[in-house]
Amino acid sequence: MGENRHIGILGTIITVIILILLILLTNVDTSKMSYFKSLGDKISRPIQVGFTNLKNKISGNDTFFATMDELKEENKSLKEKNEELSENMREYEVIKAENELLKEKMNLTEKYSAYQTVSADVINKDISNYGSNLVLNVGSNDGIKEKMTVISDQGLVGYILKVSKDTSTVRVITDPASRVSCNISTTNESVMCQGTLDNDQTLRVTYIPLDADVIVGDSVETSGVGQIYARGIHIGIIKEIITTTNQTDRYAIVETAVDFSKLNTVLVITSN
Amino acid sequence: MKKYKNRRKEKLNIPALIVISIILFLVFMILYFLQTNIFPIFPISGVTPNLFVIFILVIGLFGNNFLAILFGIISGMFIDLTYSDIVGITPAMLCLIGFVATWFDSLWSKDEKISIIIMVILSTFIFEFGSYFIKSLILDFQIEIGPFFRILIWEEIYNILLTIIFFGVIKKLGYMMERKLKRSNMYSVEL
Repeated sequence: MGENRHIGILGTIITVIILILLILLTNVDTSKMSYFKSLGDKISRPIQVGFTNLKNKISGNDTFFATMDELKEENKSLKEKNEELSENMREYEVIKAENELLKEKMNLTEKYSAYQTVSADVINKDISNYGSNLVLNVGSNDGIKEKMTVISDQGLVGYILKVSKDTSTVRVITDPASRVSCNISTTNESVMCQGTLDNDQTLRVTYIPLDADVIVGDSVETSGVGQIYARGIHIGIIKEIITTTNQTDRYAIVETAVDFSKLNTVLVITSN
Repeated sequence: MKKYKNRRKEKLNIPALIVISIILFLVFMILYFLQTNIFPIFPISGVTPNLFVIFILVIGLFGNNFLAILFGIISGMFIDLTYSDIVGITPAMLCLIGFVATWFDSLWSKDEKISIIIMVILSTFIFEFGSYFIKSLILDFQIEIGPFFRILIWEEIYNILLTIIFFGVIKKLGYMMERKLKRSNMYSVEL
C-alpha cells in the first residue's frame, strides 16, 4: 500500500517535470539560448584557462602573467562600472516601454486622423485554441456598435462582433471564420483573405484571378467591399504563393502586419 | 448498462444538491480564472488545456446528470456570451460531455488513473471536434484537418498531464460529492 503511494507520488512528480519541460521547450526562443551558452562557457572556462597556462609555461610565454595583479584590479573596477551601467539599462528599459506604449497610442490617433475613433485596450483573448477573438474594454456606453472596424498602429485587426455596455468582442482577421475582401496593392486585383488555424500571424488568400500577376512581397489592403471594413487599411504582405496543379486552386499566404500576440491597444473606427 | 439504468432512478438530496451547486460554481469561477489568465501564460506549443471539459466530465462521473447539465449550460453560456457569436454550441457540447461521462461511469472504473485518462481523451475529442465541426457548418468556413489535429493532440497531452497531476484531488473531491449526494434525505426527489 505504502509502496503504491510512493510510486503514485513519484509518477505525479515526473508528470509535473514533463509538463514544465514541455512548456519550456515549446515556448523557448532560440535567441535566448545564449544563457545556456554562457553557462557552458562558465563551466569550461577554468579548464580552458588551465590548459592555456600550462601551454604558455611550456612554451615560455608566461611573461604575460606578470601584470596579473593589475589586470585583477582593472577587472574589479570594470565589474563595478558594468553593474552601474546595468542598473541604468534597466531603468532605461522601463522608460522605453512606457514611452513606446504612449507613442503607440499617439501614432494610432494621428495615423487614422481621417476617421473618428475610440481608443481601447485588449482585456481578454479567446480561451479556445480554435478561435482568435478578442475582448476590448469599451462597449455601447462608449459609442461602440456591431460591425465597426478595429485597427492598430500596424494595420487591420478585425471588426466588432458583439457589444455589451462596457465591453465588446472583436472577430480578429486571423480567426478561421473571418473573411475579408482585399486588394493586392501592386496589381489592384480583388482577392479574399481568410483566417486559418495554422498560425495566428497568417491569412490564406483565395480567389486569386487566373491572370493576376501576384508576387511575394506584395502589400494587401482592404477593398471596402462588404460594408464592414473601410477601404485601404493595410492587412499585411504576401509571404508565399502556393501553386497547385489546378490553377484555380492556387492560393497565397499573407503575413499580417499586426503582431496579434503583442496586441494591447487598438482603435475602433466609429465613423469615416 | 444495468448500472446506468439504476443510476437514473437514484433519489436526489435537494439540500446537498444546493450546497454542492454553490461549491461547484466557485470551482467553476476558479477554473475560469485559470483558463483565461494563467494557462495562456504557459501554453504547450501555443495550445492551452480545456479545463471545462475535465470539470464537466468529473461532475458527470461522480455527480449526476442534473448537475452535469446545469454546469454544462452555465459554463457553456458564460463562454459563448463572452467570446463567441453563436450562443449555444459550447453549452450543448458540454451537456453532451456530461451525458457521456455518466455512460463512461457505467463502462469503466473511475478509480483507475488509466480509465480517467481515456475518458479525458475521448471527452476532449468529442467536445473539440463537435464544436469545430458545428461551427464550420454554421459559419461556413473550410475545415482544416491537419492544423485541427495538431492543436487537438497538444490539447489532449496538456489535459492528460493535468489529469495525472490532479488525479488524487479529483478522486477525493469527486467521492466527497458522490457521498453527499447519495446520503438519504426525506426531501429527496426522483430524477
